Amino acid sequence: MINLSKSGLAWTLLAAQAGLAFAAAPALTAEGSIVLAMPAEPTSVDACDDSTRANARVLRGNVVEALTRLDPQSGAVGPLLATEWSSPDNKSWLFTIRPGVTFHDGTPLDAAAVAFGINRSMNPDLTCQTLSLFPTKTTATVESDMVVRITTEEPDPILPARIAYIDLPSPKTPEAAKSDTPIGTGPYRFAGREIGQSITLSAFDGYWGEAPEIAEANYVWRAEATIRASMIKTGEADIAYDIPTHEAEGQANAQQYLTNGVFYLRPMLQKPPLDDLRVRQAIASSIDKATLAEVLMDNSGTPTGQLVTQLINGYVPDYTGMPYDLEKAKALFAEAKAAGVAVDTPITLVARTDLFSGAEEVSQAIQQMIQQAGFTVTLKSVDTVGWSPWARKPDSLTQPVNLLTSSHNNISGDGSLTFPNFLGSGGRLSVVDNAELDAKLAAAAKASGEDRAAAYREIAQYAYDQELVIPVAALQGLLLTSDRIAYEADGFTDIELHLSDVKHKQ
Amino acid sequence: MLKFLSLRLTTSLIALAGVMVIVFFLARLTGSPATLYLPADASVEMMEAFNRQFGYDQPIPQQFAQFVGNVFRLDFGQSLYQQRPAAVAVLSAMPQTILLAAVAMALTLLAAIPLGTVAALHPHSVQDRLITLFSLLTASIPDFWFALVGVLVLSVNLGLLPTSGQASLLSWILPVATLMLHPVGVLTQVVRGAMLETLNAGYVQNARARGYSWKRLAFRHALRNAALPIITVAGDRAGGMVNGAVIVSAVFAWPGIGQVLVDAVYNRDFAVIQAGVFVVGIAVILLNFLVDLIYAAADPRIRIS
Repeated sequence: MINLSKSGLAWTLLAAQAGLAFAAAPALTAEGSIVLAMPAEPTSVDACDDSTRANARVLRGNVVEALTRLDPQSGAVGPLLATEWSSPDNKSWLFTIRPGVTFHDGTPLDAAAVAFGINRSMNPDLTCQTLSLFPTKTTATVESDMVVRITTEEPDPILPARIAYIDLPSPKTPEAAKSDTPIGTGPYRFAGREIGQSITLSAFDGYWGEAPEIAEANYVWRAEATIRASMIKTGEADIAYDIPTHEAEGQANAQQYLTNGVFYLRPMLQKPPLDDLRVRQAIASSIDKATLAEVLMDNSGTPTGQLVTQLINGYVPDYTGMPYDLEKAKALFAEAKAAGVAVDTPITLVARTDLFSGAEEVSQAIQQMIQQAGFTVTLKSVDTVGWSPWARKPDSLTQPVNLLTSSHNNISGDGSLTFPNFLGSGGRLSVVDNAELDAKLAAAAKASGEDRAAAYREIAQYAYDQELVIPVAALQGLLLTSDRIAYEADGFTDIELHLSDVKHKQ
Repeated sequence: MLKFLSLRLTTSLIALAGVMVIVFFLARLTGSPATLYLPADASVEMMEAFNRQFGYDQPIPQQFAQFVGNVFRLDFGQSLYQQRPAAVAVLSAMPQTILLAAVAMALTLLAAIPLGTVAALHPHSVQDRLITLFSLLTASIPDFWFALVGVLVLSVNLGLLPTSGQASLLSWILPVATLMLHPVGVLTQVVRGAMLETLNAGYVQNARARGYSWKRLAFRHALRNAALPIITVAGDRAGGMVNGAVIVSAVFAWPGIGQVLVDAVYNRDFAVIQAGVFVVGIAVILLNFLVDLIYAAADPRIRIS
């Protein structure tokens, strides 16, 4: 038997208590690793290219961060690397930089670093993906050590929202060339890449915010959806993206999320018969969106009459678009024909096959539906490159009369990244030439708050009434997670998955 | 023989040069990569900057002249998609492709030759019918279906194998089996047919009458004389394994040349398409050389002629 003195006993009890307290305390450092099965490898890992889905899913909010961040539920702008901002005049904004932030290479974040990152993204010779989000020339200058001034050539009331898409790289990043080793301020540093195989991110000890729970994330690319789903079932992966509905049946950890993407048709308005409203209405009435979404899209879409989702300020509450009514479509077709409209002109349905899984079959069904109303429709299947001359000006204006299949994804919260592009006479993807609409778009771009939302709603309603675009389905995504982790999908999951939101399951 | 091989090399290189020229121009007919790498609403200035950066703003003949000059230095340019030299992108995929193809072909021969020979030794027997059924089945099953069903049964339901990747030796089983599927079936039938013909030849019957065993006849004498069609078909299938194996790459995420080439076509990565065609072309030429040498080893008449 061991004899303990009073002081010895006290020390022993204290030590035991300390040991228990230590064991019960939450982990202060990240631990464990997860595997994410992704459908596509990033085409670029440079911070200035991470507005595309494949790039952003790995980098945004993990490796690199921006001055502001949009709320995934409401779309409201919130602080991130900037703590506050103001607009001293209608063409410039002052952003105060968060103190105590360092890049993964140890460089402190200050106004000079922010100005470097923004101006680098705006360099047209670098051809950054994010550049097209800025309709007007935008430059950044150092106002003081921790305040940066961003100046726009034209007033931009939603610049704080737009700047949420400019992720900031370390000032040591090459200024005139793309980087293959991104260095940011995010909770994870870029630990390695095996091209064609994987990317590894490791928790960054010096992160300014709350430390993440997961120490390491390994992204692997699996083009086949069945394999991604199987990897969850076998425990080889913890998160699998873009899973078809049939692969998720019976899976307790399946989560559906809104992608903010909308599948729509764009009528070629410049040529008959699509320059006639009755013809466009006949086409819109002939499409049975509910059947398309339920049967051919395998419930990966829901019928919609709008080009944007509820997240965007141009969303028109309760508007569902022209209902499916084949008899009405036939009547409109006959009415247009009687009025001398060349309704017998063959219409090319330009089917972009890589819009979503099953896009070609959906296009074939749309072709049949429109033909049932009386039209002659020929199908032309194309990939993105083949689609481009049909979609973009100036080539799009000289194409034969056509209905273009397309999709649009806007998670900015603001209609300015949607309506000018598709409805303005200057929009690259627009075939609309309407001076009145242009004036409304210009006025909306300068408005702010509820006035801005109301202006975009009015523009959207006009476009839908005139069938300038024919939205078909709001696209949804499906995610599978393993039993080891907890993750709640949100409004941004489709384009960015923050590893710091992934937790170990208790 | 040397004269034959040098003639073969010359004609192969001319064919490869022709294919390279055709690929260069056909690839550019598919459209500018700018439309793929830039956002749909990218400005004209961005498109022009992109084309300028990668030399697509130059007239096609000028691009071709530059390409030819660079090929002689084995410089195929920079991969747009992988952002590294195209030659490196392609060559890094070759070792895995060749290793997988070598393993799959070796196992294919190890399976097909005994199966075909046994079937030929007992024509129209139960063994022959079973082997024929097996070979027809394997030659007919779609490899994509086989790969996915293999994953669902062996990985998901039974938990015996990993679904994909290259984490362990076990991850080789499904890719190798998928790659072997069609060649095993076809080669078994070829071996059976060639062996049947040889076993019915007069010298075999004569040897049989002298008391030689079927086993000794088949594996010592007949197989060597039946080798030429087997080598021809095996060489053809090996070429397919080297330049293809797209299914294996796509389903099992195997980093092979097939997937690199398919990705390059989808991504309008002209430099990688050109480097890939060149490297695969060289590999196929070398493989044909190997087949010619094996022909000569198998049949002395070819060496002499």
